Amino acid sequence: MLFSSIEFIFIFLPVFLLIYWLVPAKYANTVLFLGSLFFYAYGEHIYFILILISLLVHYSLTRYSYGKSLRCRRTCLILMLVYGFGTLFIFKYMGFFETNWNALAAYLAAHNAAVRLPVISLPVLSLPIGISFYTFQIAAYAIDVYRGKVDPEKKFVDLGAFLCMFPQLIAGPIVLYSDVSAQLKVLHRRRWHHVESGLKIFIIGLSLKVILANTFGVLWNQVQTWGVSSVSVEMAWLGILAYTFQIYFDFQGYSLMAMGLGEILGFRIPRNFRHPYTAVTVTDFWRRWHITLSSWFKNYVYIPLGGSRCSKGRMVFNMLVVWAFTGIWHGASWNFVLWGLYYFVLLVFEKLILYPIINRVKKSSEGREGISAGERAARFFGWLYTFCAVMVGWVIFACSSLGTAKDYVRRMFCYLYQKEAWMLGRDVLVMTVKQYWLYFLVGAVFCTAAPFAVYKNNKKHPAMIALLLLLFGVCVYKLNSSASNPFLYFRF
Amino acid sequence: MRIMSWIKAYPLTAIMIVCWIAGGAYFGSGRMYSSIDAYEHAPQAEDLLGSLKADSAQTKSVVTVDAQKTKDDKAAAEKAAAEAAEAERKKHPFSTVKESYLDDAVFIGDSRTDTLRLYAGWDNATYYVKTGTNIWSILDDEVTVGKKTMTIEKALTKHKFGKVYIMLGVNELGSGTAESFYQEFKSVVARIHELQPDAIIFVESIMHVTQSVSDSSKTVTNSAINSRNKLLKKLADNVTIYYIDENEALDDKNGTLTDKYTFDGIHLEAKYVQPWKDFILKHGVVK
Repeated sequence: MLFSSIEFIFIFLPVFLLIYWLVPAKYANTVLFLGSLFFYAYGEHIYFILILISLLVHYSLTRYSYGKSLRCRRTCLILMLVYGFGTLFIFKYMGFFETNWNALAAYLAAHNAAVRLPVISLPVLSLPIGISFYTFQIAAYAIDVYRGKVDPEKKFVDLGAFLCMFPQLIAGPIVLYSDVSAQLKVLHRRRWHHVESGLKIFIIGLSLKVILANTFGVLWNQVQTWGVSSVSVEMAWLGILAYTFQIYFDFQGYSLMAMGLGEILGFRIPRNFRHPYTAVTVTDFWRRWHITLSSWFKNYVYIPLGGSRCSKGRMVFNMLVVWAFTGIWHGASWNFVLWGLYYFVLLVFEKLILYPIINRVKKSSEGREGISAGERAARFFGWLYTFCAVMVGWVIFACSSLGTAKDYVRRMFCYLYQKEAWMLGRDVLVMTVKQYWLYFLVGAVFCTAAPFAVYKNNKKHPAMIALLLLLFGVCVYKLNSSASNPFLYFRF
Repeated sequence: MRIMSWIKAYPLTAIMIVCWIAGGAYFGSGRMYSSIDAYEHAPQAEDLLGSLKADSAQTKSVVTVDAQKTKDDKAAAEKAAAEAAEAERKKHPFSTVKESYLDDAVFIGDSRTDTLRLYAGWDNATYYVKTGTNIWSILDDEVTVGKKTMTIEKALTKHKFGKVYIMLGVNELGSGTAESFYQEFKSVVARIHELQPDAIIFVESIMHVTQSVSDSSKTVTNSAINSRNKLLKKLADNVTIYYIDENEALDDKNGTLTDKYTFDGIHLEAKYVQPWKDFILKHGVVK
């Protein structure tokens, strides 16, 4: 079930909230757990068993190993991690593994190598929705228990409520146990002011998704249907700009909806985005984009490997591991790995070359008042470079074949520009700009912090409430009448 | 009153509760009606027999014409050769033509013919296309002719064409059977012939879809398309009505639409309309 669907907004949500509010406080977590399981099972008929088994495994092993010897705890941790990531591998990456293994086997056989690999054929399994998210979540819980950061949850229902909580189950921010554990124990967390403020955030997220993201999705789909070799340079840029906005408003809208829903239920779900398209360096971008994922990788992969407190070479290796895995997490395909490695190269460049320069310049200009013109210019060029780098990154992310991505980037930069037999004319470009210019403008405005500051300062103003209701009405109308409602981060 | 002060404190919540009650009733009942409706009017079953026949008809017959005869049988041989040539001409009546061949041609079809209209660059031809149309509504679909809007049937009375190309079939896959589709197609072609008695009618085969679209859909499958194409072939008399199979130019070795030619698996990308264009120009009929 999508948040941006009539079924969710008008049927599941009100019925769930009614039950959640009516039951005595001590059953609130049970209702949340069972309701979330229903929510998940509605869309994923058989595979919700997997999440239950995962819960059982982690619940029993963390409680069993609590207080025992280090060896016992470590073995239990390894078991839990192997189970979690093993299941993730089987359901998500096995097909990818098989394709590459067989390709390697064919290559070796064709070249009469000394080592031969057998050709394997593995069963094709469909991807359970949200498995990438909840696997990481429960793994974080297991590692935190091992480290002693949290105590293992005694009540199965509470652990279930943490993991399966429907606001964040399918695509929401990767919530850590420590984020919600306190609230899970608070019996009187159902408050009307939470509902009021949560609903406002939910409507904002819904509008971003339905009004902005879906519209940009139509344009991007159109550009792809024409085919990259038939679009002009300007159209290629417009197309990828549409995708850039689409994936941002899609994901941010969904994360805001998750935050709003969490708040209605009485939980504080962490922010996932902090105006990423205003970043001035790629490092800054990754501190603002999908924050919960990058902090998961930082805390549970980068820092255990040594982080940056080691030799430069080791640090580069650590970053390589983190970014290769960040890439592959997004999908079982080589273009995602390439996307991760693309950012790895940029981030290493920034860490080893760009930032030392910036720090040196900053030191030399310490003590001066205000922001100099030079700094303003630097910030502008930094933003321009980052935004273009991010756009090119999305080309690699969006085009499932590397050849298409390469063609697209070439088209964007006029490199080896070849006049094709048929090319979209200027009139199509003009028509597209006429149709979408307002959306691009609004999109650009909503990439900045300004509209959100306006919202924060005027939360209770009647005009704001009227505006939110109007937006809600527009969204409901669009959802009811159109069929184009894709959610890009859904294949995770 | 307590309720009034509660509404003043939480206005959005109050309004949303009203929306939920109203919306829940409205959408909930709507959903109930549509699910009852779907249960009662279950979609027609696929043409299983046709698809089975299509699957088994993989072996191609090999025809060899042996025209080597001795001097004594030369006359008979020549006669036989002439007859064979006539038979071959009936089987392969096509020749390669130039673009000007299409000056008096009209293309009738759905969104896939629309890709031809948009990308082929054949401004000399006429296009009567309607996205989403099907064989049952095609003659009544409205198109713009000059400054006026009229149905395709009327438009065919207004202007004389030398060639009529028609390709339909994908939008009908979800309803009816191959046989009912064929019968309707037959009557549409007969009507077109009535309205354009001097025109050559080219029945284009239904274009395949890619393997992935075919695998992931219950109705839009290449086996359903193939079973209908088999019936469409029967329409050709090779005198006025010809059957041309553009899938020959667009398929990959598995008999499905080549993946790289399309993004959504159903419509050709602008650049890859070229094989279809070449195919049409290679299959002109010159009397």
